[in-house]
Amino acid sequence: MTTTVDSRLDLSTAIPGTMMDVPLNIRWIFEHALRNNGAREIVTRLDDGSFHRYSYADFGRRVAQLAHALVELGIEPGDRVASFGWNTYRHLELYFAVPMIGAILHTTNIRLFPEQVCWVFDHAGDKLIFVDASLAPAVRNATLTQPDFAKPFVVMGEPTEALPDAHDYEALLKDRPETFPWPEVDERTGAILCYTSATTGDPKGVLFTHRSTILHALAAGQSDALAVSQRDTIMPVVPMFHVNAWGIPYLAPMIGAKLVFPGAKLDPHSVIDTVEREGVTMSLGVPTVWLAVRDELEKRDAYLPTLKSLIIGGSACPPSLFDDLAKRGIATVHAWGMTEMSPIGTVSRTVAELEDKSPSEQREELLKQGRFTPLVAWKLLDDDGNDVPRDGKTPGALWVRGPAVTSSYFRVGSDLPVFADGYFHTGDICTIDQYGYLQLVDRSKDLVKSGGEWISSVDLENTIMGHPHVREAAVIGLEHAKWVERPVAFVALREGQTLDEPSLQAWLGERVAKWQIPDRVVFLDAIPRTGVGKFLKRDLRAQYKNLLLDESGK
Amino acid sequence: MDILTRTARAPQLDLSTAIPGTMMDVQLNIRWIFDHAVRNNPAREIVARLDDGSLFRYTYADFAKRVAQLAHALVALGVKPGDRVASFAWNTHRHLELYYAVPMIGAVLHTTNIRLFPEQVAWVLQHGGDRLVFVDESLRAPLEKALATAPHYRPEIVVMSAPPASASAAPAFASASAAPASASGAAAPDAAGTVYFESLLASQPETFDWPDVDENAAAILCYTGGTTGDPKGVAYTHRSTVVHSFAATLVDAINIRQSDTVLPVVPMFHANAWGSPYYVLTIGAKYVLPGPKLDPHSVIDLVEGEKVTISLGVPTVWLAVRDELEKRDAYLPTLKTLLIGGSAVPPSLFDDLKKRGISILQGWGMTEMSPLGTTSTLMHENENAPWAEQRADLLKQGRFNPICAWKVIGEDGNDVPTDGRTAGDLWVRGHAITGGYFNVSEPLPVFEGGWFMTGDVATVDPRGYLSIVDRSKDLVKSGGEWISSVDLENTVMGHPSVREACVIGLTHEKWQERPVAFVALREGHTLDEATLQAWIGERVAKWWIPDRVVFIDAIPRTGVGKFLKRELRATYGDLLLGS
Repeated sequence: MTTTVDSRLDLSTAIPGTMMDVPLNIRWIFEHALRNNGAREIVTRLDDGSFHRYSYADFGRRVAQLAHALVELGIEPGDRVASFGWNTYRHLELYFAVPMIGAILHTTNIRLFPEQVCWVFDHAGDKLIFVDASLAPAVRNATLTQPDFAKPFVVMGEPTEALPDAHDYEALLKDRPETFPWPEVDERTGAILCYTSATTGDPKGVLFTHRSTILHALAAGQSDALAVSQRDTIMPVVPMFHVNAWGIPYLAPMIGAKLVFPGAKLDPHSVIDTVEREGVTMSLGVPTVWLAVRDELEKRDAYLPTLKSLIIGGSACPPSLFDDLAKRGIATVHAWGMTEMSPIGTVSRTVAELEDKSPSEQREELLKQGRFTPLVAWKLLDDDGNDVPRDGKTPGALWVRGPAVTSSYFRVGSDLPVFADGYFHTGDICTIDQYGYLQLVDRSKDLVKSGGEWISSVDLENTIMGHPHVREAAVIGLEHAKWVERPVAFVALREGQTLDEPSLQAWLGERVAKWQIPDRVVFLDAIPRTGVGKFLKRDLRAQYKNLLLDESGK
Repeated sequence: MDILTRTARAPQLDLSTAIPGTMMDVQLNIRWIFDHAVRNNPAREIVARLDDGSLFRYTYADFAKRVAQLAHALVALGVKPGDRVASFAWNTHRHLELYYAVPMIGAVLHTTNIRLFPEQVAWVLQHGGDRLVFVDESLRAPLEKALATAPHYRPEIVVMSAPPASASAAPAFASASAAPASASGAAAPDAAGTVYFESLLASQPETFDWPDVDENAAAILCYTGGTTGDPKGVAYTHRSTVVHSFAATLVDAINIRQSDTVLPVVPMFHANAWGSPYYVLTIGAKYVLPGPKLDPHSVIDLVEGEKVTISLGVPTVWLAVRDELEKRDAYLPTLKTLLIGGSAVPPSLFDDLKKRGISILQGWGMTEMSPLGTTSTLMHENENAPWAEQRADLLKQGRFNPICAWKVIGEDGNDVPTDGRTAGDLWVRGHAITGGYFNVSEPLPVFEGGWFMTGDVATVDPRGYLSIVDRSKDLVKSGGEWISSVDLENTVMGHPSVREACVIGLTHEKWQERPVAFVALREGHTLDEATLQAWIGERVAKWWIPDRVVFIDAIPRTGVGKFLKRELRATYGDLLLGS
């Protein structure tokens, strides 16, 4: 018999345990870091290429000073304070001081259009904005789009003409007490506010709590996830405005790892230099950065012996990148998640069942998005709402649930179709295989529907990026008179390489079904990208919308 | 007020203006772990050695069906949320099923220590309020004996096996209460009046509509050894269990991956087998349960046969395994980590096992802490240090995991310097640490200001490594000076003929207390008092040398494998008087 029986258990008779009532809040991580790893280093690459370094203990003192400054400036629990900056030690100080006084840090995406910047400052209700000196001109441009803009600024770094009335960060901290009577903030209090533009319409805010932040750190640190040890030196290249740099600003101090911030210097030369100088063992970022680093390493025929793992997420990692980095002794760890998930959902590590399989079978699994962390429950449903089989082939819509998954959007609510039955609809179409590995087929809106058949833009992009002359490729579906939609590829070539449309199409013809070959290949210097490094397909669709209609109409 | 105006203001924050986040409200309960395990690792194995020595194996998916059946059976027996259900059993798959089914219906599993004295067993069962006791077939006799000391206490009993083929072959369970009223689906006892686990499960549905138990509900009740006074109960919650699970498997803690095979030799009645029934399934590792056979041959057999990569247990077990491996000149190549806790790891054991290619991970904790507090791994600051320095650090109790806050307080009430030398009382605080004892309403001095006093005297060094000097009550105070019994024991256990050594302070007319060593020798070895005292004299300060050495066959131990010093003090209390 396998029918479910309704138990009608009356939970009101359950008894409490004897455990201490200790909140899962950011203060807890902060104090643990200072108490156990006070001498561990936090290093930041400055704009002039030099390095700033101090210890967790020094950091702890400045966080207290910053908290005193915030309180004196009138910041109260519940207030939003924005940051507009790169990954630096000051940004980390904000990551702790703001939530620990019960306020909310709104990490603003510095790559938004000026109008969008003002829009999010407004929507978030930011009371004060902290901005990197080098980004002050950009922020100033943004404020010019709104005539009545009146929010005050604090500049982090050298005084700047762009914001002459702004406070100076160091002046705010100077001579303040180096300890603070931290309140015991309730764990369900909002801590960090992050807007995602990966939705239709205006950006949507996700308000992470102290509780979700700690739980996410505990789950992300696991051996089958990011596998972080106190012995590690971690450099998050992924920005602190891209879903909390995937949780690293909280995970690293929790574990006691050394932290290295690259600042504004994300070009491959600087990244490689920083890895070498600071002995970075683990780094994280979207594929773009590593494509460039790979190119540079190959050009130099160089290696990065301390770099044991590279966590790549945000967009699918092209297999060619995975292989090229492996040839350089760098293990790529594929991860998947979303802003709405804090963000880590899956990480790709080997499992027992794969231990006896061939290297190529193992590689095939590791290239997938990976297996779910213990913090995420999931469902993969077909169009009828039934679970799809775990055959690695049948696609379904992915829904997720967990204590670090959002149930609503900030000041928008939960009455949206993406929130249903306690789950969040990711918008991703995926498969899951017998080993439990999730594979992303496509964002549901990016699938190309050609003559009633689906083409995964992600798969086609990965294939094209396997061509030795191709650096990046984005595939979109464009309107076609006969087939409804057909794939068109946008390709950026590697430095010094040449390639033409027929050659690429012929090369693809040896690797994909004939009907999946892109009707057109457009060569660009660079693929337009979103503020967090994903392909800006919406722009390409808008710009090239008639490309196939003009031709097919002839 | 203009936000840029500076005013002198003391930081008084009104948290009532804080706003909640947008995150889902998901309870951190055992069901969450269970669902994750079954959803993501349905084919992973659980292996258990049965009473008859044979191995039973099934998958997480099979396990889940039986957990559902067990839950239905419990409900049919009238178990309600908040009720306590006791187990009196070894590490078996049925015990694991109880570990999930009981809390997931909102009830509380009381894991009873089978090695308590009969009167204590009866006492804890009554104090816990257990109306139902699940007992291993092989443990019926000691349970009967215990229940016989409290004739008015008549819990329902379920024997954790299948009914025997012939009804007449099964003796009646003398102390069982009358058969429970037959609710729908409840199994009737057999002709002899005994209710069997497998009969309860048979024909129950294989899925259950699990309720969403509040994370602060009690899940497991575990009594500490009770070295002074009555045993004290700690009621872990679903929340503390989940948070402890996440912290325990981190890289710098036990470092468990899905690809591991974990063997807990530490019993499921010893602080939840150190939490392993929950975190092993959360991670999706293979789980191997040794049943009643904890002798070195059986343990080695399992490690080899099931390719165990991580095992957990107290030093006693591994002392015996070491002896056996040395005797056979054998190795255990799959075993990469041995988590040893409960008592300090003797350096000699650490070295001997290292010679066999086995790395010991020393851990420290307490029942009150779920139990993990520290694990001793290398850190950045010593990962390239010479071996001697690494060894010294690895022999310490280790570094604190992220859910455990600590302080070491000196006699003046202030924090002692973290110099690795100045000792004080160790207090802890955290999400998986108890703030009180079960059904003990009077305030106790060990709980103060949100902290728990561990009763251990400790040092913490500049790198954050904890060293337990001694249980505060086990320190030997000789002529006003302290001798660490733990340190002296470890030294004595370094003698090649010594298998185990236990040091206690006994009353001395002149010095108040002097150390006396109780020694059990390795098989086939001989040694006399004078020789051992001379050997010790080459290794410790003269005044640390034990006044007497008493040779015994085995050191008496508590139900969880620690030295039963109280008994030795009682038996030998006058040894040094009148000498």
